[in-house]
Amino acid sequence: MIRTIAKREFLSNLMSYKFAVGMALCLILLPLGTYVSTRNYHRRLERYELDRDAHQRELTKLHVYSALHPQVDKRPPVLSIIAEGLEERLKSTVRADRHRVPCLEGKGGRMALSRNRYAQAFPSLEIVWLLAIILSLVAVLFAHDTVTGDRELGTLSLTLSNPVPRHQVLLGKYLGGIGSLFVPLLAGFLAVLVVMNLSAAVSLSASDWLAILIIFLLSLIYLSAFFLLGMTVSSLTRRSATSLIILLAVWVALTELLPNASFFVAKNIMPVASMEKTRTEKRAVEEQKNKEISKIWETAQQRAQRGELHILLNKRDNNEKGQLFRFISPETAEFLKDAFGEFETIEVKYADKMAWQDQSYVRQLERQWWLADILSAPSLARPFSSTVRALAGTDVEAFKSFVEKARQYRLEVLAFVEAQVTSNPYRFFTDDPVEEIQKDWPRALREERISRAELGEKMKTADGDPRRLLDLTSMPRFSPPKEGVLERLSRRWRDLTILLLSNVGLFLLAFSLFLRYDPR
Amino acid sequence: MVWMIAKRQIHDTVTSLKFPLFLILFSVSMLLSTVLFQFHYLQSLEDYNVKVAEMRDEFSRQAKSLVQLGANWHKLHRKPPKLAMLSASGEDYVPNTAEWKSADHGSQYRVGRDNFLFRTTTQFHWTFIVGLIVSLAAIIFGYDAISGEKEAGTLRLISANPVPRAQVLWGKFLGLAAVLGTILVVGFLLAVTAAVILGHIALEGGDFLRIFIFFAGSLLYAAVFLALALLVSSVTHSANVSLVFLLLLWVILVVVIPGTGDIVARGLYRTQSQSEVEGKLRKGQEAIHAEFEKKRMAGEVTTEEDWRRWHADLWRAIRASDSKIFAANRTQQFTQTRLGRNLTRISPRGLFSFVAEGLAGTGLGGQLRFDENGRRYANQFGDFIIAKDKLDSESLHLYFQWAGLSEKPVDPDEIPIFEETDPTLSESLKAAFVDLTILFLMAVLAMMGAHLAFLRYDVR
Repeated sequence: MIRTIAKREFLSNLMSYKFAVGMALCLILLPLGTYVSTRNYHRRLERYELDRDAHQRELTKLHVYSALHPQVDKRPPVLSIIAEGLEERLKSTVRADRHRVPCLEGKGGRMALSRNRYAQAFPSLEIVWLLAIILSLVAVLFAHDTVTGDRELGTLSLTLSNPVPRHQVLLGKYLGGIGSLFVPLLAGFLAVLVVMNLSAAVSLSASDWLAILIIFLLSLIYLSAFFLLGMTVSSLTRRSATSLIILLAVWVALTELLPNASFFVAKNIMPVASMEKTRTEKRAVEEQKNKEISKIWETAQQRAQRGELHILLNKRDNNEKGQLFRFISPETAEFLKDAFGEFETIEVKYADKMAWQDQSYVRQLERQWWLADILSAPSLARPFSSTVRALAGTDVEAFKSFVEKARQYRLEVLAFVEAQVTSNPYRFFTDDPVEEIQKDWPRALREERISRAELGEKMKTADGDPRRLLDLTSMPRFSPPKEGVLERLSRRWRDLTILLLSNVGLFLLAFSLFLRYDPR
Repeated sequence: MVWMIAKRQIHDTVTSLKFPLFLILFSVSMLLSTVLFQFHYLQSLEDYNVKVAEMRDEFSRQAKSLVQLGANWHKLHRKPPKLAMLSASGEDYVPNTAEWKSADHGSQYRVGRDNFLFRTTTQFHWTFIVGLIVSLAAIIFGYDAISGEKEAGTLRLISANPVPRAQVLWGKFLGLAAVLGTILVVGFLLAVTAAVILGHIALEGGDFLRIFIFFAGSLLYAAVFLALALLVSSVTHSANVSLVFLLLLWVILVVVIPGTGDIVARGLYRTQSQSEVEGKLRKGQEAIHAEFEKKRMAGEVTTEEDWRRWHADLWRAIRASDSKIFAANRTQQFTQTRLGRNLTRISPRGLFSFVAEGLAGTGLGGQLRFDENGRRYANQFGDFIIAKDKLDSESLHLYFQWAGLSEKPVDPDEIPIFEETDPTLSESLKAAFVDLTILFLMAVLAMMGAHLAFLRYDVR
């Protein structure tokens, strides 16, 4: 019996205008949106590749370990086409800087020249958000007259006069309705996949396909929740028009008003400290650090005035933080060895201090975001899109695990540098071989054993000598965090529960209301 | 006769469920938005005042020596717009701080209590609420005005009377517009009353007038969707079909087009990437360095004073080249933004938002104002430094350079202070006028279409 009812519901839906509109929405808007966001993804990918290559090239030009501050880049995930998430909001390049602990950072700081910050009169659409809006609207359109429509036509009385239990009628209608919604959903998904795969930049791995499958199932669950909401309202009202009007009001309140209102409420009741306050606090710590460092340099200066230290060349090595000394006296080398050892200790100590400040700021942001997330949970559209973003690897957690990995990598780099420097303590600040240092060039120059011209010639050859570059073949490599699709899904267990529970709850509600429904 | 039809339409709509439903939805949203914006404004103003006080402190500290004032970088802060509750679109993104150094404008960026973990800007301003709820209400009120009557059979009866069809249509339009107007009036009155009672935002006469014009714009916006609803209703023969088509139209006009304007503009008009701009900056600087190095090698720089002049000129040239590149970059970004906005103007919601932006002095217009005010102030400040420096005979008069300005103290009270002037009423009106007119034309066009369609409508 359920099958008969479902079949009838399915066929009558298939021939309706709303079906045509649902198909049109899915088959026009989704592919168009996908085309645009695939292009955006392509651009992001290009930028990523350029950055990554530039950062690798930088490493091949270093002379001393004090300049070694590798940068790591987060590859934009393919599924960011479907859910852009925070890809354009958060920095995807992180310095695994020995002197600064990586932390979540927003894009578009002071020196962001490429970001157009004047636009954004409206937040730009994401495929997943388009999906959330279209699917819920179509579901509501399909469901609003499941009960009332039959009552108005008089067919409900006829159906119920047969020996068929009411729950079977409702279940049949539900299955038929979902079945007919399945068609535009599948068509829309296929269209999105086709447009995505037309682009040469897109290559989907097995886990991506699994994620897409899960997104499809999630869309079905989300769709079903709104369909059941429609059935509930339909079982509450007598006329289809009334039911539809209530549903549309509820729909706009749930999908648009609630998420935006909850963001704004969270921002007002749990304000975060302003960014520049954190920056000022950090600057205070940094000044302290600079004081400690300049104290050591002052001793160096005093000793140089007394004629104990001699430096013939001091320049920056490819990096504002790397100092390269050449042609130094043995005493100077000994002094610098100790000094740079101390610098490293000081820098690491203060890096940890500043990391604490950074993290407490990010924790504030996270608390505010969490509140907004909780407040907007009843909207169903938010839980749905958050879960899809998590699956796509573009949510906060994905960025956090990337930063966490970068933090570990920084420790690895620190250990590597320490190991290298123990074997050759001078390599921190000079690329002169040990026997060159023993030659004591400054004294030779003073005693006119060598000429300035000769020294200049030596400097030139030293600059171009590839043997003086750092050998970084044994340096640990950064490996991006690898998370399984299910692991990412399980991060949003709360949203999943909300989606599933709302299905169950709404079905029970619709059922209990339909049991008392007066079919006349 | 028009009046009779309108009266009946008003009666029908007001007694139906949709009227209280949308009245409550709209009023509650408006109230919530107003209350939240009051606190939001209070906090932004407090933050702004702290920053301005810091700026003054810095000035009085630097007033000990003119060179400190003239050669240092300073910050300008944008005053939080009073009427941000009307339209705060994109306010979370646009720069609110500009760095400048005497007559030079530097980079612009944003400071404040933003949260980069939110994907989109938070928009719960009046424009957002009107843009969504009122347009949806207009569609739901108007979708069955013609096709519904046909289905009920009453349209035949009406046509049997000696009433011109145009009057029937206008009666329906006016009746529905009156109902929508009532919802708008109630919502706006509640919101404005709440704003006045809470009183954190000092609203003045001009602001009330702006709110009133915004209200008129909202009415026009509602009229566009109402006319569209009547148009679709007069080409379809079933109320259901008409609603389904209107919802399709609504999703495209209200959700999709505004959300894609910027993305499409980004695809059509490319702005420079970070590395491109940085490359240009580096190239310009290298060329200037080379040129100055040549001068130095030629032996033109001999005395200590020459040396200082040379240095000052070098830095001035570099700054001029840099700011030219920055300005070109900004112009490109503005062009892209304008393109995106023009694309968004296809949608009534886009037009309506730009009307609100113009009236509230937020968004792109507010940004341009801040830019212009900042530049004017920087020039004024530069003139002040030059005038003060001329009084000192020991100074080298190398303006805005560390090595070339007077080191005499300045009276801190004399230093000009940046005061962002609020846009005058005529400026606000000018900013809103074009979009308001297009919105009006859209309503007229849709109504003409409805008129034509209804004249041919088969009432059987």
